[in-house]
Amino acid sequence: MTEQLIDNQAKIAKTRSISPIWFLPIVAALLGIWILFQNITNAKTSIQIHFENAESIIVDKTRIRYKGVIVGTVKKVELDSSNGVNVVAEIESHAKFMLREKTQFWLVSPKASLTSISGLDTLFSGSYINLHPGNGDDASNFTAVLEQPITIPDNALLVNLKNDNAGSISVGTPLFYKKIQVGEVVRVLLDKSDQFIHIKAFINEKYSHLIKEDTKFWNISGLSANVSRSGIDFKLDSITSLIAGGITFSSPKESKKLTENTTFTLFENIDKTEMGINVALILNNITNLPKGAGILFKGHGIGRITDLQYSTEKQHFIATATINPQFSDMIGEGAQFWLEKTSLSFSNIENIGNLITGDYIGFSPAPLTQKTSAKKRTFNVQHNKAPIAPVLSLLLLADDATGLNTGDPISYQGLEIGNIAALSFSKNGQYIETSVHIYHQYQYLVTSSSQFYLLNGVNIEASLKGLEIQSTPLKNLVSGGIGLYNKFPVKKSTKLAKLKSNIRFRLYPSKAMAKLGKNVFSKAHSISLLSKQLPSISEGSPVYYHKFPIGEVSGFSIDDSGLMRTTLAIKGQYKHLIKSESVFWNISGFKVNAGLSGVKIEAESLLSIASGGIAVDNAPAGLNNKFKSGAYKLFSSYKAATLPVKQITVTFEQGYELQVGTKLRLKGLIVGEITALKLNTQNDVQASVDIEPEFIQQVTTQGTRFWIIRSELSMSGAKNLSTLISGVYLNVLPGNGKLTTHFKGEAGAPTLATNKVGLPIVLSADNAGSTDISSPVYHRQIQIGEVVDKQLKADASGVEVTLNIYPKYAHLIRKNSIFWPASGFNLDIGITGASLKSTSLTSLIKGGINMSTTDKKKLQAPATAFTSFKLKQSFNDKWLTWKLAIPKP
Amino acid sequence: MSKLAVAGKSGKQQGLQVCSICGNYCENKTDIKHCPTCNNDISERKNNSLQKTWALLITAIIFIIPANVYPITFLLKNNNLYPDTIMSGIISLVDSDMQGIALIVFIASIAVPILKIVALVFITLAVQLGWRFSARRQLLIFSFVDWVGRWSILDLFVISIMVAVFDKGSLLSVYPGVAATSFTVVVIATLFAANSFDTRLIWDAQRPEINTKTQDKL
Repeated sequence: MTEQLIDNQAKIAKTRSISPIWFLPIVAALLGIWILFQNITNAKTSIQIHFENAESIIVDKTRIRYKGVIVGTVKKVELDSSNGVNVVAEIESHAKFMLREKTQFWLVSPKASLTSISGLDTLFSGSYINLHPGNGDDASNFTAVLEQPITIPDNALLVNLKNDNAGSISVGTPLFYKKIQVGEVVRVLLDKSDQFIHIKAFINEKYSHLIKEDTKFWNISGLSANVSRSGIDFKLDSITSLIAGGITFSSPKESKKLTENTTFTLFENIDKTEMGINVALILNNITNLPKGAGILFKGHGIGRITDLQYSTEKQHFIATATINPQFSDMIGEGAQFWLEKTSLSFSNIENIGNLITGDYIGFSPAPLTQKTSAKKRTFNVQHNKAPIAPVLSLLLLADDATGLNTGDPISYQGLEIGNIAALSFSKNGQYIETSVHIYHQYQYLVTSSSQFYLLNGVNIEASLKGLEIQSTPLKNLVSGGIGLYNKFPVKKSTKLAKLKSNIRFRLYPSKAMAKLGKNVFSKAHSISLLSKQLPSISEGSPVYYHKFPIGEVSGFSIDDSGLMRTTLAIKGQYKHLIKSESVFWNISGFKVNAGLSGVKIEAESLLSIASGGIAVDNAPAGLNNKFKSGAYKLFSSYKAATLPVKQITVTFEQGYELQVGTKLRLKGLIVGEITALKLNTQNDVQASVDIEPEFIQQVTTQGTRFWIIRSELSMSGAKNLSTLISGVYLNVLPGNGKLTTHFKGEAGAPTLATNKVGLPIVLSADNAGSTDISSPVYHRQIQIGEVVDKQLKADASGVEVTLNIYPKYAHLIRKNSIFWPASGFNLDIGITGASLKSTSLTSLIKGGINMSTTDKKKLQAPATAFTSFKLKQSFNDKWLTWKLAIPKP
Repeated sequence: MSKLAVAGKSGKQQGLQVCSICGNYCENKTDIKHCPTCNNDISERKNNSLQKTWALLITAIIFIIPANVYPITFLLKNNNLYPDTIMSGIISLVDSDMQGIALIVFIASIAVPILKIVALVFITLAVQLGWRFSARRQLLIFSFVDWVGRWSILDLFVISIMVAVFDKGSLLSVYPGVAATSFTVVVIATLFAANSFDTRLIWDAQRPEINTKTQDKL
């Protein structure tokens, strides 16, 4: 029953079901089928490659590549029955199409040579076999090539070259165009007739337009040396071409485009290409002119004589020369050729090398202005370098002809621009007329303001100014010469200024003279100066105008008036600087101003220190700069000349430490000094004081006060200690009255109260206590003033103490302010102990007065000057607690 | 727990079913879906056990082919790719005089997976077809397959470490190949196949009368 029950129920559970797990094997099966399919379709092809040897080929490791893609693997290496080895490789299905008859295989292994390093990657990855697809039928047996075949890039231009011998041309030799590699030789073959070498090269597509019908190719391989009497001509194009050889070419611009497969001739060198311009040169004789002689343009070889022939008809030699085509523009009407021969003379040796190498031909180009309109190709060779273009003839006037020779060069900044043509006397016999020729191309340098100077010899000028040696080139030492000096550089572009036909230039004896200009020839201007004493200068000492030397001292003498006369010679060109109002002063030596503040040395110039000097300047009008006789005064300094000091006298009761030289100071500034001290009839000390001109207005007025500042040492402090060292000085306080010259000096500083500096306050007290002059006045322990005076009242009933409250505190003093003495200390002794009260240590020593204003009442008006207050005798603690706010006015 | 299990008879015959987790048995009643001791799902026999086993085994059999034919690793050395199948790896180990390691690799990577599949196929076939074969031996084989199964993952472990360690770009790198995936599938499929095989079926196969009875019921 139970079983039945189970059976009945179980039928639901036990229905046959297919598990979803079957999905897995189905997928697996599908994948498997796919992989199988792949395998079948991608079946590799087995090929066999014949190699000379199997070096560095490893089974299963060595790959076959095409353009870097692995297309196969070596599977087997076996010995060939005859020779070499057979390499069996499997090529992947996608590369099968490349397996054609002409397909090439070669082994790539690292190779380093002088010209290139290749296959460097194989150093690490191992060698591999490279494949280059060819055409033909399908194949499976190949023979490997030894080296990488030259691959001709797509669309490259193939060029056929022909030559007698291969030279150093081989497969891979580069083709250069203007030193840029544009192609490569791909094949070198012997002609069928065994007479020529056929060279096949390709030009990269982007350079193929460079090849034209008339293109000339020549070999630039290795080092070519052309040894002749004119020297050894080494030619080396590039190191690569030295090692690997090279071919270069040149194409005429006008040439047609290359149309068909032409065969070009490969020339051995550029000369053989006969690309140069052929020029016929006509010579009368060819002594020492070798075949192959160079044609030099400014020392640069531009061509070479290739042939020399004598023409019996015309009785002259015809030299055929080849000129480098790049100079073709220069060959034309107007171009000149001349024979450069050895020339030996005292003044110069030219072309001595020609003795060995033979002469050469000099060349100067046709003027550029005449465009190559006329293409002249036959030239007469001159015997000498002829003036190229009409020269500029000039006449120079010289005082004497020493050092001038016909043919001597005219140079400008060292460059020869002409020569001396002739020397003769001028009509009036005063000068030597030097006729000079300036070469055409330098004519622009000569303007009407140009100056010429003699270049010869050594010019030594020794003076305190230094030793100046001027030496021209050795050539000029021997033969002399003339230099040209232009004050302003002349631009080449400037139009040729028309010089007057009768213009005469002066020949200056030296460049320095030339710089000075024509005034050199004008006479020096003589000026007399008179002074009491001779200045410390000597003959030759310079005369300066604004530190610029304009002349020198020429002599000394004693004038009739007893004064010393100094004669100056002012250079002609500067004589306009000397006017009737000029002042002269001595600038000799140097001034030392030594003080506590340091040492100050003033000097005009080093030269004036050593040799002295005289300065000149224009003085303000109205200055007495001349003696009645008309001679100028020589002042000791500019100041002395222009601003005479004013002398005043100050009398003192006591001289203290006054002495001659004691300074007069106004607010610290030195405004004068004592020049004399003497006792007057009243036995007072009378000091004569020189006041500096600029302070005269302030210092010499009525009411001006003078007093002596000395050091003071007292219990309460030290004052003016610096005067201990620097000496006393006179202080001055300017007045504001009329100008005067006599003053009365004071011994001490005037009380400031009377001077109305600050607020004067009068305190009345029973006795002066410890209050003393200069005792401080405190407010909240800040000094706000000081005691300036104390004296008995008129009736002696008390003491009047005058305070000076400093201006910035003046507003603190109110009508109800109270004052009490702050002096000394309070000692309170009680049960709790002793208490000592003192305001400050200073006040303990110096005494002082305290001030305060009550805050109980309203702020009252400020105290006016000389308000009288009572000095409290006793002190109340409360006063210290007042906190009255007093606004600043 | 009312009934005591008797030796020599299968649980099914005694109306008992055993829990695969805690090992306790209980009466085989229809309403019992969970082990009364540990509350684990229990059943008299695993559902579709043979089907699952077969499906997984077939998957493993299919995948073991590419696992052995295709490269299991790619070694990129100096810009060159060197593929290695399991067998070529073993051969190169032998070539470099490391026979011991070669043997271990051979056992772990080739012998064990193949033996596992073969053993499972044998047992499953024996159950399926009711071969009278020593149940004890079959169980021994199964236990061995179960035990050794976990070791065949060793290869993949080594590959995964190599891939992680040798990663120096084009100088030296290791990449897993197609075979590695296939091999993983083989290992996992055989593990699950062994797991889905219900060993109790072996006993059923020993009693053909019951077996046929069950077969009928199926």
